[in-house]
Amino acid sequence: MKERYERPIIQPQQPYQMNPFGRTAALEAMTAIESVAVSELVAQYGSPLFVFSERSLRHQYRAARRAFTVRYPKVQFAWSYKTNYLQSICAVFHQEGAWAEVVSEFEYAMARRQGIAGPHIIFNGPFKSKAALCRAVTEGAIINLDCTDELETMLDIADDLGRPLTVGFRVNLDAGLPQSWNRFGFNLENGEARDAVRLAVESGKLIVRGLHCHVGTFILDPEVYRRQAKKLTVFTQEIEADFGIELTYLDLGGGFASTNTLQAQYLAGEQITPSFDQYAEAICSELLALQSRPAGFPLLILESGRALVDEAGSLIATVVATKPLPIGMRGVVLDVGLNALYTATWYRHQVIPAQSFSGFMEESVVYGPLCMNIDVVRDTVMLPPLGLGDRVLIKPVGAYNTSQWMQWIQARPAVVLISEQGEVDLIRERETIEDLAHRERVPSRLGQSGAS
Amino acid sequence: MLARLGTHLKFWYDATLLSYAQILFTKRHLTGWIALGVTFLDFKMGLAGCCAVLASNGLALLFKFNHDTIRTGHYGFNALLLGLALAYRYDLTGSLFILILVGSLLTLLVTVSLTSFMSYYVQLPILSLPFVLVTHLCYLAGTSATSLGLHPKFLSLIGNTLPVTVPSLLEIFFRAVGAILFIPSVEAGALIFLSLLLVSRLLAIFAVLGYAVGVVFLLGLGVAPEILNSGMFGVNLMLTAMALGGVFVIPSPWSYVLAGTGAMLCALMGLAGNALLGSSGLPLLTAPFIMTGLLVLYAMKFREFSPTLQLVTFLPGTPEENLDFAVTQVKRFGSYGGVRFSFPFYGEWTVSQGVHGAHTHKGPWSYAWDFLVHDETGQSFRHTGQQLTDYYAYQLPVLAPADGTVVEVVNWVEDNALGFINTKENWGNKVVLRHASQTYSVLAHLSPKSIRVRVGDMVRRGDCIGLCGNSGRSVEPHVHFQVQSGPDRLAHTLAPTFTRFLQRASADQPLVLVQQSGPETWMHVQNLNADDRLVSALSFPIGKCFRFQVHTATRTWEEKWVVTVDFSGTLFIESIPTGACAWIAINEGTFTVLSYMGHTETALFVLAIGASLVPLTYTEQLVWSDVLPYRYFSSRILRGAIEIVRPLLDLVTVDSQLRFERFADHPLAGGSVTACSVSTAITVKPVVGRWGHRIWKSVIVLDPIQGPCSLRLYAPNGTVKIEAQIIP
Repeated sequence: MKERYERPIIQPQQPYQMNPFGRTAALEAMTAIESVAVSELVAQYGSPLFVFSERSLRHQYRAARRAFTVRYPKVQFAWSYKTNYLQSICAVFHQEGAWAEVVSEFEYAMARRQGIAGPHIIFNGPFKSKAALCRAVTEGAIINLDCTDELETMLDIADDLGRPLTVGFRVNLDAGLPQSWNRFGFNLENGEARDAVRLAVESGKLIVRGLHCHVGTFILDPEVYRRQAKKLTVFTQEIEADFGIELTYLDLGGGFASTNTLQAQYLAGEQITPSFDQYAEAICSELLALQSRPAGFPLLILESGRALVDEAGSLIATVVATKPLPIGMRGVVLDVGLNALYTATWYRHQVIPAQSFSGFMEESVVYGPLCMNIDVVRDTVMLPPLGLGDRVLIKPVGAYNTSQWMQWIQARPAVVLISEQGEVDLIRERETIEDLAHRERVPSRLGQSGAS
Repeated sequence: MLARLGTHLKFWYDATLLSYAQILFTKRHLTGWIALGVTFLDFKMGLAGCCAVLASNGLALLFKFNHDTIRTGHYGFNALLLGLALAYRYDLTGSLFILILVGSLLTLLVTVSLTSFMSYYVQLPILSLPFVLVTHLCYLAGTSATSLGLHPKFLSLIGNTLPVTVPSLLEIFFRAVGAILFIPSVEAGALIFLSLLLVSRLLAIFAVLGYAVGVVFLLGLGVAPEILNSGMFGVNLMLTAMALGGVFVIPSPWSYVLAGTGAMLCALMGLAGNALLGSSGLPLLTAPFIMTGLLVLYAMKFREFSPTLQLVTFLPGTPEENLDFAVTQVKRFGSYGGVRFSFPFYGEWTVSQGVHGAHTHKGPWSYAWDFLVHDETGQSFRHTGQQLTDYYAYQLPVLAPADGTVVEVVNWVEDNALGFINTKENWGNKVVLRHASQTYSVLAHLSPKSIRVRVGDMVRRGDCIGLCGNSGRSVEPHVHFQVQSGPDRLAHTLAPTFTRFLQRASADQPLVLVQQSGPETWMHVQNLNADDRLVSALSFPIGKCFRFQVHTATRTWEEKWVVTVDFSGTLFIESIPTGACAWIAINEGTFTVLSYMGHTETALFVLAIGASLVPLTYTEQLVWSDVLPYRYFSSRILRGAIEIVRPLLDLVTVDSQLRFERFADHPLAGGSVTACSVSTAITVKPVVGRWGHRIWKSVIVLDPIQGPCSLRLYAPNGTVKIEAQIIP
């Protein structure tokens, strides 16, 4: 069998000093995903290729659910659709018992198309048209209002239908995060949220059923959740007592971190990302104060997305070119870049060679194939010398990439799902230019340009 | 004005007739009418009896004793017996009625006092003890009352001429039956026996059994048969057998044995009593029956529970009713009364050591459970398991398993480092709760300083009492739970009853609803968690109305359901205009239909059999079972046959299997609704052969907002028998 050729590299050595960039043993090749060989996957489905592991999806969901259910008696997870739209991925979570959390009319339609019953859809988001709200009301969805304009619209719908409607309110509050998300919902600290509840109650047309609060994204400190839960608990008790209402749910949103490493983060994600149990302990220990309500505990709804799906997704890419960069590093060009890997701008993804290598590393910059200077998958990473046709695995990429990817310069890659038994299913085909063109309507005067 | 008069009349009607009926252990007006009629076979007896009853009930009303108790005839039947006894002995004179009046008052007072005394101290019924005491007093007093003429001998008004000759054994038997009401004639006895047959075949069987056994016993002892004819000997035998066979004991093969034995004991007592009192001229009346009955019932209280012979601990009815109640209630709900324990944790935990466990749950401490948390691979820790915080169960909230009071708290024992156990402080940190006078529970191996209750605090089921730790004889963080009869640390454990829970063997197995037994080792268990959607779908607040459009193959009608509450506080749904009633209960996270009365072609009937038991925990594809009364599915004639044999054998069993279907869109008239449905398969199975084996199916759609919005019953041949849609 022909041995794999590895390009020689030159490395400066400092005499009498330890070379910090000497031979590293920390990186191991990953030739298979869930025991399915990378080479087989590429042979059958091409490259680049998103690969999801069903076992990882279910394992994460169950771990998250377990962490919360042993600390609080009424827990419901709602899959955050914006994290990953793939129907197969959504179906896995729904099979495990998750409801659907959507942030627009567009996503609402997706959830309904997926077969999710109206009462199991949580309709959030800063833009909900009247038509969308009407549909949600008719189908019994859980609606969390974002602003007074939506509140007015709901009052109109209540008048049209001639019956009271159930609503929830999104609140924003200061949970100690440096950047507080105060553009969504009604502010708690300045009384705006309380006023909104009062407006709803006094109108007589809206029944306030719950609160929704989503404080941030990729939160690495569980104490943020403790503060959030505590403020919400106090607010709940206050509005229930003052307005004589009874909430049935508290939606604490999502924002749990995955083991990805933020660009500016010093320590690797695996070392500092909190476990589900830590998040659960922070949230549930505060919510247990609500035991003495006459109605008992409210339902705790969690809209986690990233933490459930990120680790399940990997991206197989192929090296299409390498070049020595004038700055001294090696440039490695892959067949996929920011077009399908939007999260590369947020995280330092792992880039792992999918074939064995000698162990000598060189400082590399990993680029994508786009003609765009900022199309950088990893900036400064130690990689073995890679050649044309070598495969790499980029992970964890399960969250946001397959919903935020672009149809630009390169066709969007295919997606496969590996089942718990190791069977591979294609869950989304690689796109072609037809996928781009079929929506266009070219006026006849512009016809088919070119040589007549 | 007229309505008030009507209420009064109804009250007197009930109170009077039921006083007559109580003598025969029944609560039916029919028995009362027949007994009343029998007493008037001799006008004097009838009049005296009537006056006594009216006097007693009237005095009770006057003195403002409990209205409902008077209505049940409880204060009247002893007075009735007194009146009959006095009329039997004395002539019809004015003084007789004075004596009856005063005697009735005395009977009333004795009844009230004895009832209170005996129900509080020994929890026994008074039977006809006041009658015996007061009659003796009156007889004794009457010896010096000269204006009371002693009636030499009772002569039947009808005489001894009968159209048909009756075999002499039967004659003796019926005379004995008649003597219950002091009218020892064949006609009276036949009528009374008929009334027993009409109301309860089992009572009639026990009466015959008691008499037969007693007679055989006496003849075996060589006693002269004339004794059987004298006084109330036969009455005592029959009443004893009835009481011990089916009224105060649940009918079963062994209760027949008890009835027979009781009759023999009664005969013995009767002989002894005769010898004792014979010379004094005071008749024994029903004293042997009372003594035997009370002795046996009292002694039986101290047995260990045995399903083959049980006392009636609820409101007694006819033997058939008692048996039906015991069988269906026990089959459906396990034991009645007693503390029911929930698991002391949230979520799903695993039993690492159960009853008769391999390590420490042995011998007198067998009934105990160790709980901890596993992940789906079966590990109780994450990472390497070398730190206490790696263990999933560590520091999780531990809850009170039932309402109770804290009697002991140990909060200072350190958590063991992994690899060490503390055998000096076996229990580690623990909380001991008192739930009832002989029911205590212990939760042990908790984390130091985590217990948040103090001795004397009252806790409710589900309150957090501390956090799971690794203190005491604990290898890894877990919670130890046991129930014992006393608070001390070496007390023997008892077998507790658990509330319904969900169980599965591993993460990929389906959840199963466990209804009677406790959790087994290595099972993953969790409490039922009330799901808000089901709670609101099956909420029946008082006053709520439902309207349905109901179709059968032949008719269509509109049916209205109204939710009300009866005098005992039980919710029931009344179906208008069909008049059917379903008694329901919502407790322990379950909706139950307790019983149903009425026609079987109503929408309410479909609810009663299709949603007879619904746990308010929604788990897709959850399957559970229930038992239904055979009377819903069998004709009257068949029912009679089944009832007679039932103490020995169940001729027909009706089991149902229920299942949740997933939340889906259900089309309804005027739109559609997203709801979950309960589909039920009801199997009517005769014990022998396949004749009569039928399977009914039903589907009930439960909408969180409207409640049960669509009900459908499929006959065994597959066609739709009843279909009902809610009218919003």
